[in-house]
Amino acid sequence: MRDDLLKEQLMSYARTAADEAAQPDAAAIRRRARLHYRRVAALTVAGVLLVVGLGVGLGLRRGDGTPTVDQPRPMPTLTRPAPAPSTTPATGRLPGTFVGDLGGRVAVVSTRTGKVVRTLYGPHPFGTDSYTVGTSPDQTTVYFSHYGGDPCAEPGVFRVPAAGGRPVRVVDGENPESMIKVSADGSRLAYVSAPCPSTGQLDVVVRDAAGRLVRRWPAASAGAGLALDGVSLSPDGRRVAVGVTDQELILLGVRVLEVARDRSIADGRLIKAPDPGCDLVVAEFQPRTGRLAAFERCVRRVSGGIARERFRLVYLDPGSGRLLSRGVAFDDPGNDLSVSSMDFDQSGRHLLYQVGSANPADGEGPHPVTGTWRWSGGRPVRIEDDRTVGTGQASQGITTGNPTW
Amino acid sequence: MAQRQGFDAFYSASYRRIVGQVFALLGDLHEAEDVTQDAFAKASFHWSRIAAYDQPEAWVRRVAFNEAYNSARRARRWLVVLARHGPPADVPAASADRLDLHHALRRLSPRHREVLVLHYVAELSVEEVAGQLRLPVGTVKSRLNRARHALAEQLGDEREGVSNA
Repeated sequence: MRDDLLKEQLMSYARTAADEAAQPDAAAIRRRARLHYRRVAALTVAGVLLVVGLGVGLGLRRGDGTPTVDQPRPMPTLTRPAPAPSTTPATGRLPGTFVGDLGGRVAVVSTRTGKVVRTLYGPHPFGTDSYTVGTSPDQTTVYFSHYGGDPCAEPGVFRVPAAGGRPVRVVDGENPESMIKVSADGSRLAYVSAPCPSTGQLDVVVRDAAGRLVRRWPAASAGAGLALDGVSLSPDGRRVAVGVTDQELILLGVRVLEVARDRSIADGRLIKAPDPGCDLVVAEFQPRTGRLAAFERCVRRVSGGIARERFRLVYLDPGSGRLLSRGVAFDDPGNDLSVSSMDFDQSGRHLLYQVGSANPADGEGPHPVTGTWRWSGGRPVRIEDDRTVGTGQASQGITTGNPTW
Repeated sequence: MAQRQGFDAFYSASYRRIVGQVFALLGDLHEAEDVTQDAFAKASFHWSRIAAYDQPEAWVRRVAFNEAYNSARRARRWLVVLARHGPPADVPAASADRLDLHHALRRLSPRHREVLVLHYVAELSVEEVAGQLRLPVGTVKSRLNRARHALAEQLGDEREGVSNA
């Protein structure tokens, strides 16, 4: 089809619909805005009051013994803070740092303060580059790859000491488009990858720590028209969990694949959200227990045509999909939020997760829920949010991307 | 007052353009109206900042597309649309070509539809599409290429089906 003809057809198609569309007056739009933000504000204030009241009244304390009232910007959950899962190991020191993409550089960030401890790679000019990252279980080695801009200009998976040093390319000719996951025993890496030059096709790839290919599943093997969405490796590196979406990008669930056995993604066991009205949005194997932890997004209730969403951590049996226990939960009063990544430390006791928002306005000022959080049982603690990058009109409040212990 | 007038003028000038683009993405006019009005509502609330941007319309489009693209929320949005507008009207009269295109677009994946709409309807360059979607330029080129082929195939099938009927 000729390019100009295609453009003309599509423009005409959109223009005809636009001409038929109803357009309320501007005052109605402003009223709609006031109603929306009043609802969000009311829920946020109520949530903060409830949490502070519960925290002071019950004398809740963080895992490291610091009184909860000293925590910065507490999360406005509307329910009693979730208890730690009973099978979570009680020991396991909180990692002092984590690693992530910080607006064009791979950085080591303090868990306590949220401040950058050191830069491992970059920076590139803001907006032109970003990275997917992964860390070895002992936190001595960081894996990363280019994501934004033109990743095929410098394709591959790179390894760099967490203490700093020269990056070494361990994989060439492909570019991970998901976080790089390292098994808890450090023997294997897994990610969703595109070849360079890109064909638009994504594969699930498992490699050993030296970069040698162990297994590759083409996305097409998930089934016609299905797409992939993030991976996780079991502690022993023998299973891979991969999110599978349908043509409409609705997450159908998580396929748990046996690396040695399954020939196609469709061979893996399909695990769905255990609760009705919920979808799984991101999943991660928990070290030591081998359970599959996942955030599910649920439509909480519908009243007057308004539904409210809620995110909740659930622990599942990766073999059967059975619900084992529940964890931290939070509301999404504006229906704009998402959990974009999650990662456990080596002990499986401390969970690092990132909450993002589809509403750019949420990145332009303080927001009660977005950012990088850790959960070690009890109340979650926000580590950082809205780091200002760039200047003037180009400035933007970002949070560390793809945070990983 | 000047700020309010600024938003009103912006809204009047750009609303239909954004609705058309969101409609091309979703294929449902009521849903497109709802998503677009939500995006403008958010813009009105933050207008003092957004007005200073080079392209406020790009901000609104990004908000609208984020919401429209998040298909996991379609069921919720559909309930909202139903409450506001009532059940969907009958399909309006349309030319055979337009219906072919409508059905062909619906058969594309959302990712393919999205790059087609941003590039051809919103008239963004490949680099600008990559910036909006936070994707590598190569990935956008590849998706665009596949989307064009898929659409051509679908249109071929549609027209063949019509002529055979």
